[in-house]
Amino acid sequence: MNNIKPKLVPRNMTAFSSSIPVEASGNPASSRLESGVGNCFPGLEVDLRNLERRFFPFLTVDFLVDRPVIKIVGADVARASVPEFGLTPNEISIYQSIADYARVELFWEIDIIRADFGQYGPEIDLRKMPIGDELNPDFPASAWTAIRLLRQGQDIEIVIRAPHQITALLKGKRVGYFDPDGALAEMFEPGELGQSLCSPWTHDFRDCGCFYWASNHPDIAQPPTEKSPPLADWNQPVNWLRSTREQDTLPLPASASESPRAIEMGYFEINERWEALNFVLGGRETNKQQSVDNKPGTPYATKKEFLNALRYAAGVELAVMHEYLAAAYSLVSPSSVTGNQELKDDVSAAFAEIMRIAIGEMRHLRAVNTVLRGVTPAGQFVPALQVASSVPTSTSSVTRRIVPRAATLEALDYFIEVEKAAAYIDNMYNNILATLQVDGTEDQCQAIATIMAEGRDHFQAFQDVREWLARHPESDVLRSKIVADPSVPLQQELDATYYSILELLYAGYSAEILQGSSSINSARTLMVLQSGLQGKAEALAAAGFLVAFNRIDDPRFKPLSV
Amino acid sequence: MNDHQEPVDLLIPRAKTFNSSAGRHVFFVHNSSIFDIPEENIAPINFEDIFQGEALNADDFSVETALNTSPQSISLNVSSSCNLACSYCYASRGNFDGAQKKLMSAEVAYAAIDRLLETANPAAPITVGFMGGEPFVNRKLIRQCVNYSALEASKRSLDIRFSVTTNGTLLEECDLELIRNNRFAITVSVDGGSALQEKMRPGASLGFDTSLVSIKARLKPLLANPGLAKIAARATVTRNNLDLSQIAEDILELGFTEFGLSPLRNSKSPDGLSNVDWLTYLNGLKEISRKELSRALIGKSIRLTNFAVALKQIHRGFRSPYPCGAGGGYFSIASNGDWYTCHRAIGDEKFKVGDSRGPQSGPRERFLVDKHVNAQTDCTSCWAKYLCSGGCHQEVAQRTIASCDFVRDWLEFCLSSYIELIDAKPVFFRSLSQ
Repeated sequence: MNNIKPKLVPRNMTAFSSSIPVEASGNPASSRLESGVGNCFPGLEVDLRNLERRFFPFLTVDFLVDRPVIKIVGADVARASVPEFGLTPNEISIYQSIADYARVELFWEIDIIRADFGQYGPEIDLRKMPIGDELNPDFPASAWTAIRLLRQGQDIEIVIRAPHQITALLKGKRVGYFDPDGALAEMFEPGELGQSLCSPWTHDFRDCGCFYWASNHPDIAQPPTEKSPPLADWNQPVNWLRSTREQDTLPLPASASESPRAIEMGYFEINERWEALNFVLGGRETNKQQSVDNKPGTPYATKKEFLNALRYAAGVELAVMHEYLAAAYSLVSPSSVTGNQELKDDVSAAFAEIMRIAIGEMRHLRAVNTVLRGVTPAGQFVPALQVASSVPTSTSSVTRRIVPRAATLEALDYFIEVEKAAAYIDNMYNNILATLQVDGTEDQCQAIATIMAEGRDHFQAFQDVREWLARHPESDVLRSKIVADPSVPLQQELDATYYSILELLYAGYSAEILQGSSSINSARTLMVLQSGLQGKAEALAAAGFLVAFNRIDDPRFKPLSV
Repeated sequence: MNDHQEPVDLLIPRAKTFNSSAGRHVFFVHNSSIFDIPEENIAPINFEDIFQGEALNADDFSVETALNTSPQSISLNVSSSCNLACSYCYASRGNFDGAQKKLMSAEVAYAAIDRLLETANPAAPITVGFMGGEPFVNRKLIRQCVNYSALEASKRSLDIRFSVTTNGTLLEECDLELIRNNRFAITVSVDGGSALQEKMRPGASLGFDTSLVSIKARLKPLLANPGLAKIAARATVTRNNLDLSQIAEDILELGFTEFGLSPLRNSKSPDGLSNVDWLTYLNGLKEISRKELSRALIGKSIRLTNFAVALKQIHRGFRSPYPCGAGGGYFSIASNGDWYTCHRAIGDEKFKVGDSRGPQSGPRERFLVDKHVNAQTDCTSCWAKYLCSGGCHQEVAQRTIASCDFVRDWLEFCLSSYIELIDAKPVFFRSLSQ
């Protein structure tokens, strides 16, 4: 057998699944440019300025960051001397001089570049370029930008100056950075394109915050503790990147430090101690192994049970959406709050969060209907748009009735209960997922898994909302707590609009995805228009009533009997 | 039990290299996997060694696997006669040289259906097929069987489908309704254009209108409105007419959107292909396939089922030690209720595996051991053995080097077409990948 492992690339399905016992030679696919993180985060894979370092034949230059100076840091005299390039002995001696100086770290610099710079004219004198942030329409933003304006093959003259101030002129054509096959030209050395990039574990980790790869790390978190429940002091957030990390010593609260950087690990320290940085779960740092209680669901025994469960799930989504709309619109309008900025901010945020969750439930409703359509025998699908009159709680076999209520703390506790990860709703979806894992498609499983994951997010969001609203007296936060009599005209308008939306959804869900889209789009429009649901709900709430929907007796939409 | 597991003979090829427009590739025999061989491989590759140490023949090659397969499909020989008298008929117009004289009774048919439904794997589709003779000679029994099977299957929540092979000359509106309303795969046997059809299918003299004009008129409403049915044509190609392109054109002209071709290999008929004919047949088949491939490359369907099925099986990495389901998942029931390994074996004791009680494990196992491709001495050294699996059991006697060369060349053509198609139109295979 050869020592060199052959490289084979799988083609058909068995090839992809077979455990071919050969190692591919060469670099793995993950090292190819197209697999690179730079495709998502440009600039993290290669520093394109490293191409421009080779813009002039046989020279390597460096751009200074703070001044418009181009230093010539290297010259390839051997290549310059190749007769085919036709350089004169004088020119070759200049290259030789550049190389000799560079060896002792003295550098020639470019003073003037003559080439067609388009709007900037035929010549750029780098010595006259503005420095720093000073803008001047006669010059490109920087020396590097100037070089980038040059096109491959374009004629260039450079006036260069030696460390001992004599000047010389070199002529050449802008170098091509790639060979005819599209690979980097031969002059580039391995690693050259990435040489100026920083390592994610050092500078980036300290300097780039908030969701920027590769340092989307928490800024603050609760400190790790063995005590359960934790002592009160240990609930205050601390600086996650803190340098002092003794076990069992309460770290300084994050709020106590004026300058977080002073107490954070330094660049080099992160390189050495990155393993000391803790994982954060549920807002708290932990360094212990975690096990997830991943109870598998039980597939439904019969198709009928399964279809009923999906219908009920849709009904639950619709029901909690009703409750969340009532809660959201019960909050005072932020525009009516004057003089108390914190109250204004908190009700704005609370309204936005509850609405986000309510809209999330609507998307779940759609997803459940899509799954239901997929698992229903052809031709028998009927949209599930009947609201559930009661929803599960975390105690199995106990349900609670759906009641429109204002966003009181008590109501928010209810919502937290409903969205609690371990609650029966999740359990119900867990069983639905288990059934689909046996019989369903990958898409269907993903749809249900997404609903479950979003439920966990809703749980956290309601806890936040509760915290914000708890800061204020209830009378400041709420504007409506009672349900309007069905005879109230504003209530009738709301009910009529809601009924129209349900009818559009029914038509949309009944049709195939593409054919149904216009109905669903109409339903969406009717939800957000000022003359639609949003406007009607706001009007009703402004009149002092809860946004609640009256029972609809249309068999398509009447409450589900459990 | 005879064990066909691990061949140790080094003469057994483990890999076949082939070329396509995209470069060089290798096909591994034991699992039908395909890999590209990038040009950067400078040193020669020893493909025989690559899978060394791995079991070359997985469980799906064992006789037990086939024996443990529950019967999922049967065909009922509902008719033992035919209104045509095709010269090449393997069934002697349905009476199998006198072995099947009587018409099948409803009781016999129902018993076989019961047996199928009792033992089939409920998670997989079940098929009841109708053969003969010309099945629609006995249309009453077909209707009874369809109704009975559908009822019994629905009681058990089984996914039942039907198939029928017919010459199309007797089809009436009531037949079309039955076919439309059930999940029928209907295969219409035609020879090609009018002249060929009339030459190969004497029948008009018996008082039937067997002309293509008549068949076309009978089929037109079904092709226009197939309902739940899938319709395809099949043509038996004899050495008297090897102009496959013309045959294909004539069949498509009848309104079919799918068709398959079978070369005649029958010792009893002088029309069967002989060694000198196979190259012509191959070239004809390739010519049609190239046209179909160019259709597929612009997003249209491949109408030649031989080609479409081969491409899809190559994509999935299909391999089997048996050329068909005979004796494994498929059986054919003679008019007297005896179970045979397939519809072509009716009346042949060697292929009888059971009586009205259904297939018996003893004879079934003997059949499966005997017909395993690794038991065919002339197949063991062939790279295509798990794709072709030795070919139809009824045609083994006609297997020659020339006919096997045809199979290998055809499969190699399909392999390289597969590469071309999946490169240009991966969507063609998408439904299979899920």
